Amino acid sequence: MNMTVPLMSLAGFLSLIAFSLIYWLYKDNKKSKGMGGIDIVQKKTNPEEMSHMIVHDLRAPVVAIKNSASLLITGSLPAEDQKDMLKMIEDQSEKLLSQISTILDAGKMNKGKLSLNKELGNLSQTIKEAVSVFESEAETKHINITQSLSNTIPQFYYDKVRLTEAINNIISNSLKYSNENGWIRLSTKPLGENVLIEISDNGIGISSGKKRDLFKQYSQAHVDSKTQKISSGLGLYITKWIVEAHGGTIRLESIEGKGTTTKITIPLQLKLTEKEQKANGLPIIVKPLPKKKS
Amino acid sequence: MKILLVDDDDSILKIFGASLKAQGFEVITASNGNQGIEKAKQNMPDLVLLDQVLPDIQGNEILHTLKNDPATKDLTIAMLSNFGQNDLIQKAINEGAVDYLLKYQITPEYLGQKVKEILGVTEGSIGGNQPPTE
Repeated sequence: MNMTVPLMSLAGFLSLIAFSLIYWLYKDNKKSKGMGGIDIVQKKTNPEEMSHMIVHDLRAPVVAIKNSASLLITGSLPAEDQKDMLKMIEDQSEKLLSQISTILDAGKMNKGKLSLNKELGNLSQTIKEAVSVFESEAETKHINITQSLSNTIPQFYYDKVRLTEAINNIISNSLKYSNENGWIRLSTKPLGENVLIEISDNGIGISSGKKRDLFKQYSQAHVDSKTQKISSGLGLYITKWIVEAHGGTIRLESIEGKGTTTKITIPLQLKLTEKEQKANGLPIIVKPLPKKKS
Repeated sequence: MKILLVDDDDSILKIFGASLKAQGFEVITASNGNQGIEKAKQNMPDLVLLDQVLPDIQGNEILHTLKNDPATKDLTIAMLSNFGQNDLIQKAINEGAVDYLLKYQITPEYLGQKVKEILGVTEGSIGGNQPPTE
């Protein structure tokens, strides 16, 4: 297959991007330290550990892309497996891009340069597209993802790319911390002038001690002693920002050993603000969240 | 020859599974530790490729269980992991693993060669009933 050669080059190129990103993020972290605003690195995670976690997170999809492409090059696969490999490349590229966006966003957030680009969208469609990326992984783990999406939610203005990223982060966590034959449920319903998005799972849950730091940058950067899974901890930090930048709220309810429910509210913004209209479709920078006094 | 691939990573199961199949092996997959133990007992594969990090039971515990069960103690087991710390490798070898392969260093094609090397098979004997060559 001729297309596999550029795919192999893509895998190599993405590896380079991954390492460049780590450097870039560090550079920003160093600059941002002591400038007030958002805490950059939590005490428990040193930069070396953080680098390890992020590189590990990025390496998995790059390796999968590289191996799928290398397998296609051999020309030894039956047609059905070739299709599987191409789907794998598509899914893993999607995940890699999402992870890269998360890292870039963290850097932009620290500089106060993260922006929203709202457009009129169909939330059910956005959620369906977010879920589709995880279908193959869920199938392998025998985890059932169900969706109960309200058909009474009108189209409203939100940043489709960022809201998809937020939903992806939560589904990804649910998958990571769910057991075989588990379930993940996504539902939406109108709630006054907002829409409520609930994502529940019957996974391993979160201990009360860990809950309070979940939305802090790198607070989750760790190798979980129970699952041995590695996490950079950036996902929920960005997710919280995305939701709050839309004027929404995010709340997490979890019982250790029983599962977790994440509740997100997003205002049903039916028309653009004057500022958003003036931007004429260009992204609008949203200031970083104020630092809460502990 | 039967290979049991135990890993919770969908991409590993699909990529390495497809590669081993293309090289003539029969591939059975399990996406968690309990399923891995069960399938090892049911199928008695020629080789178990076992991930270290699984959602329910860790790879080294599965290795210990299989190697201490009279029914499965003779299974050939190699670890296939993202973690390459010396203590983990040493522990696995001490428990009876025949090899410790690092996922990010191994290509699907090389995995096939490595599997043949571990099992001591030649090209023609994979799908047949011949015993492994010494």
